[in-house]
Amino acid sequence: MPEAKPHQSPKYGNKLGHQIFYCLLRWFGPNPAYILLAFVVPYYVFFLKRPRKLASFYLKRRFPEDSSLKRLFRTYYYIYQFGMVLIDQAAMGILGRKAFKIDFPGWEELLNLSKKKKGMVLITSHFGNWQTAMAAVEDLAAPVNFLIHLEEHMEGRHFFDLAGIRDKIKVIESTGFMGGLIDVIKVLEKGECVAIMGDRAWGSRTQYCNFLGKQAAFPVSPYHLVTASGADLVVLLTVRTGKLAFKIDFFYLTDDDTEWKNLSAKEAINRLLPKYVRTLEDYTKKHPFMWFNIFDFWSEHKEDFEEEKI
Amino acid sequence: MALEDDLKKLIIEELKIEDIEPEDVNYDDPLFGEGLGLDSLDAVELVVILKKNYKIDLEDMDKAREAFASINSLAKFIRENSEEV
Repeated sequence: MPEAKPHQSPKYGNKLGHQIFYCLLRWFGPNPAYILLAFVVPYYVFFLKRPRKLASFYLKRRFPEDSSLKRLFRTYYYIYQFGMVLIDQAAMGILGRKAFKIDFPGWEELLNLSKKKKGMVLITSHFGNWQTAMAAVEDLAAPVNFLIHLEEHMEGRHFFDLAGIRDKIKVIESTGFMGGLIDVIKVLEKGECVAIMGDRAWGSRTQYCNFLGKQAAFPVSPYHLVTASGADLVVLLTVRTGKLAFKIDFFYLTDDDTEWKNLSAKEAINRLLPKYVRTLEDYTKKHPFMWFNIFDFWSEHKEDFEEEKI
Repeated sequence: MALEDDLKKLIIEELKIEDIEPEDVNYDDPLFGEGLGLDSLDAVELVVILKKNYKIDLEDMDKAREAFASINSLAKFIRENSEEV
């Protein structure tokens, strides 16, 4: 069995750069930070090859007809959007949740689902400020757990620490025993919620599915967990809508009468994974500059993943 | 060794392990990684198998770690914790 490559999240800026942004945020609010960002981004876009390359994997799929010049401008806009999301993320920690305007149209429905206490798998994705969205689900009727490798999500750790919500949102380390999945089953059976990334598959089993015109490998663990626990499956996608403002959209994937516990994992994957991928694809069409899965998601290097064997 | 043999069959059938017969599996072979080659998602299925067939809830992760080492350790764990055998 090939060993999965550990994913290295790209690092942006240095400690001094981060401190400058933090100070601006703390003393003057987000506007000066956004303005400074507009002058920092050209350095990344025009003078460094790597950010352009990493952004191009997605932008080429999303905008295949673009000329080189148009792609360069889109890359600037895309990275600027990403920078603003990172600033908002830091702002959530520094200024607190009350400084934000959160539009969450499906909140009541999600809250009612959490009251059923049958367990809920919340698929999050690298959309908008997904870490910030975690602050919005802390008020659900059941405790929320987050299956994550914290060390790889420095920005996530920063957010959780600063916002002081780690008591409310428990972290299950994916580096724990059996990838944390046995802990996940335990909390789902207690009726709790577990958030899992649906669009990052490093080191876990995957299934290929067509996404933006080409097969891409998606993790299958959320669907296994649904059949193993009978939990509901929902998708939460987040977009930045303005200054310290974001919207969370909620999609209920197990919304029929199926007894998911009676199905095999393979059946659940075949039914639910395409639904998730279509939801994700539709969202990239609606919000093209908000999907920040910045690496070659369509890589055909099979050694990057341990393939689905069902 | 009836329970151990049942477990071998159950794991191979329920986890749809191909190209391995129960008699190919030694009682002390590791279940995960080398040996049977199970992974974390198989562990999830194994938790379900234990619950469905032996009415066991895995509460203690240290015990789970020990139990999931081999067929022998799993059988020992079931004997100690299930009223179904």
